[in-house]
Amino acid sequence: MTQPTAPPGPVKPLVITMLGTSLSGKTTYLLTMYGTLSLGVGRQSLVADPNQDYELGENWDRLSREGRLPPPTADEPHEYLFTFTHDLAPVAELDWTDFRGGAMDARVPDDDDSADTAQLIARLSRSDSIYLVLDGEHLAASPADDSLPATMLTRRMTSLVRHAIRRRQAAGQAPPSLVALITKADLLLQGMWEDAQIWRTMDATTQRVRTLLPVLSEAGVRALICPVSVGHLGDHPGGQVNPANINPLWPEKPVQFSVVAHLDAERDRRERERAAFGTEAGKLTVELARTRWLERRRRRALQTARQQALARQRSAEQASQACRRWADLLRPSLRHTPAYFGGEPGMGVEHG
Amino acid sequence: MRVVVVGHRGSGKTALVAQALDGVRALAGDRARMSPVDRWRLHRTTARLAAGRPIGATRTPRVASLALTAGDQASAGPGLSVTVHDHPGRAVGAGPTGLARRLETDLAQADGIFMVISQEDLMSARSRRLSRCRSLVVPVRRALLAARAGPAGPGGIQSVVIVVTRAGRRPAVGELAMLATPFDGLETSASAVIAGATVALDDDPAPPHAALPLLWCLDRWVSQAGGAVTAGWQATTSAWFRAAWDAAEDTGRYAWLPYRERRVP
Amino acid sequence: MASWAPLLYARTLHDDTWWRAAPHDRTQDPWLAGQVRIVVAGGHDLDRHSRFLLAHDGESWLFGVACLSERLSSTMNQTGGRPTYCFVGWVSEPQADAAAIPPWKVLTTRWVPWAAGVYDRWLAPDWALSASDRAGLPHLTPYAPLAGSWPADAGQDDAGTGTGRDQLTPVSLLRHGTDAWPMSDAARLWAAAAASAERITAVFGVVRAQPQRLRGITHAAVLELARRQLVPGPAEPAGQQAKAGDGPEPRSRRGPGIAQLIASRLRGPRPR
Repeated sequence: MTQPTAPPGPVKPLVITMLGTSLSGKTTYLLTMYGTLSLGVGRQSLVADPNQDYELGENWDRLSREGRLPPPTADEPHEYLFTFTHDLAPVAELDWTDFRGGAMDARVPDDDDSADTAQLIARLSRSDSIYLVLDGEHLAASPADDSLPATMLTRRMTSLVRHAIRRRQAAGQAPPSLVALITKADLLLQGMWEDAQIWRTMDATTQRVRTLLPVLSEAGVRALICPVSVGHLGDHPGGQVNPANINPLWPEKPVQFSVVAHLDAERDRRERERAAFGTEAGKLTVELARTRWLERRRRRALQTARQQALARQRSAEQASQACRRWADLLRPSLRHTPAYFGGEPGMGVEHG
Repeated sequence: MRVVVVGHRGSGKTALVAQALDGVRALAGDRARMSPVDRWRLHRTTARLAAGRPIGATRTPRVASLALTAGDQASAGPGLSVTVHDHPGRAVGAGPTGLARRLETDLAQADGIFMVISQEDLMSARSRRLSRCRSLVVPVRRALLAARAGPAGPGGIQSVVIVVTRAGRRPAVGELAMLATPFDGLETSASAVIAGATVALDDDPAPPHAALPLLWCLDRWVSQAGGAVTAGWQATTSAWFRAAWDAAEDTGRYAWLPYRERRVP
Repeated sequence: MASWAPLLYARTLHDDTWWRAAPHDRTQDPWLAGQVRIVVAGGHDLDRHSRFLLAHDGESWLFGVACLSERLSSTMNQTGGRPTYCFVGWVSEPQADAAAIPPWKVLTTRWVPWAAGVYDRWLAPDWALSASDRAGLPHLTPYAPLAGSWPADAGQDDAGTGTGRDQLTPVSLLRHGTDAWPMSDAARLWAAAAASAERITAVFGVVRAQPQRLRGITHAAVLELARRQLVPGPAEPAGQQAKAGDGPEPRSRRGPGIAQLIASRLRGPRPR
């Protein structure tokens, strides 16, 4: 397949925000994801500027070579900007911020410590993809426990996401894509060797997650439930693990999903634009036909406006096709991962 | 043509550069010209290699220039200029230092890139192996992206060669491919647009195939140069490359070429 | 005699709210918060070396230490299997005299019991509380003369703490870089910083002279350095795209400002 051109026109960065309780694995996932994708997975990679690459790379090295887990995240959010590439072509810029877990849990209204909470809530409404981080350790320990929603703050997550969806819809924007990121997935499958047992466990976990986070099944929402793991780390007293056990599982899948969902949403937006400009051009054609030839100035103005509408329609169509081609190029990498659209399996798009 | 050599400290970059230039000069004969300073540096390095003595660490970026003249062949047209930029190992993996910034600037303007890594690194524990490879892949990938984003037209990075040094026993093709697995991501993503090769060099002070990476890059560059270089040079560089390739029959090298030309020799 | 109040920046077993104790007039102080975050740096490298801070905003002084909590407490030092870290410090009222600040040798030999006292005093009541019980944070700490909290000879010049003749590189000349000293000269840097009238952020115990790790630091004592040098600030890559913000979309790339364009025209093209 020939490589499509990058979507023309300015495309805003894909804003990604992670929600999850303290020590659920958000920062560890970010390091693992970057450490893996910066080396490259298949034809895709992430590129960061030298400063951020140094910071993330050093922290990833400390984890992968020394077995040192990252320290708990402080109250200053860490901001990163990545370029997601396919075959050395930039596909999307990713604007990623890592918040501490407590930032989503400011229950005290006048909590002076909630500056990053306000920042997180404002950012959620601008987020194109939200990662709902679920600690696999809790899911493994008590999969059917009624205390899980309180432990993992899934009701709070659901509330925040629904609020963000409503705000985006009020602004005429598509809802963000959602990734239910099950960290420490190795703990879910510990001691299992038979395929059937593994599939049963993963199926049951998927259903449990959909129950804990009903927002994943809402109309118009593209969602992915993705288990990830850094490796069989076991207990880690003093934040130290055996580096020989570092063996990442699927750290790239959530990012690939977010990019594809973003392209799908962008394609839909461009399709609506194309239709709108097409309608406008049609109306201008009718009006032009009604305008007498003696009204030269008016005819010229109408012709100019119609040409502009047609040009914008063509531009929107090109952008839509480019988004479709890019998304179709990337979509095979999501095969075998449970993705949903409006609660139904699949990404909700026919392959072109 | 500008070739930039990148690798960790002690990976054998300076030795590779000296051996490669020596090999090209041997093939080109009196058509190869170097400045007295470059010739002296080259001689000093190759003499130390022949005597089995260590070469000191490169402290600052060095550039060796080789001028290839047309000789008696009128059809070959004007000469070619080859510069090889040898960067210190400290420029890699140490963050955005001044040396690293110089390396990145050079990489973005390169026509060919040598990624030099020792076999010892490729056979080390998984985490170390991936870390060492990642710190080479990241600046090279950044340079490839920057080059593609630059103005269209002739130029830009055309070749990337992974050179595995200190290969104590010449690995077979399959072994070499397996050793270079950490570079699969770069190879897979880049091979749609640029040519690449992976070559193993042993500790022989004058390995017959040391010039292969440089000749490969030169041949690629000439073939991409279009009207800027005459057909005479294209025939010449291809002949040199073929001669070096044939002389190094069992080197364990393998090549990854642009998508449509993919083959293993 | 100027008064000083203790600060504690640390998380608990169940809650990652970090500001635990501060004086009443500093709970919303962005300068104070910024200085603490610079020296803490997300806990990075604190397992290799603790970091000391001496900062001045032109009116008040701030000094303290960022370290792993296990240095200060054998019980309140990890959560979820991860070691926790903290900052313990002292901030002065405006117009305070730096003479009250302990000299380097006193600080480095006696900081553990001093900091442990503050850590225990303000964290122990909260350590096992759940996140929903954190109302009323941060605890308000009183101002008091510093000497009451330090050994009697604190503030007196001590042999090896520097003669005061060392000069810091003026901040205006640093251009967002860092005046980096070797760690062996930390005492001299500490004395010079305490004698400075400028707005400075001096951090002691940074492991590497890395621009990214020295961001926001005007003067530093660095473990890996053998001699003093100016470390340039982290360079912003050319053409870095602006982040998505609260403004209208889409965002365009920012080009060089007028000052940069004029400067580049005057400098001429860079040689290849």
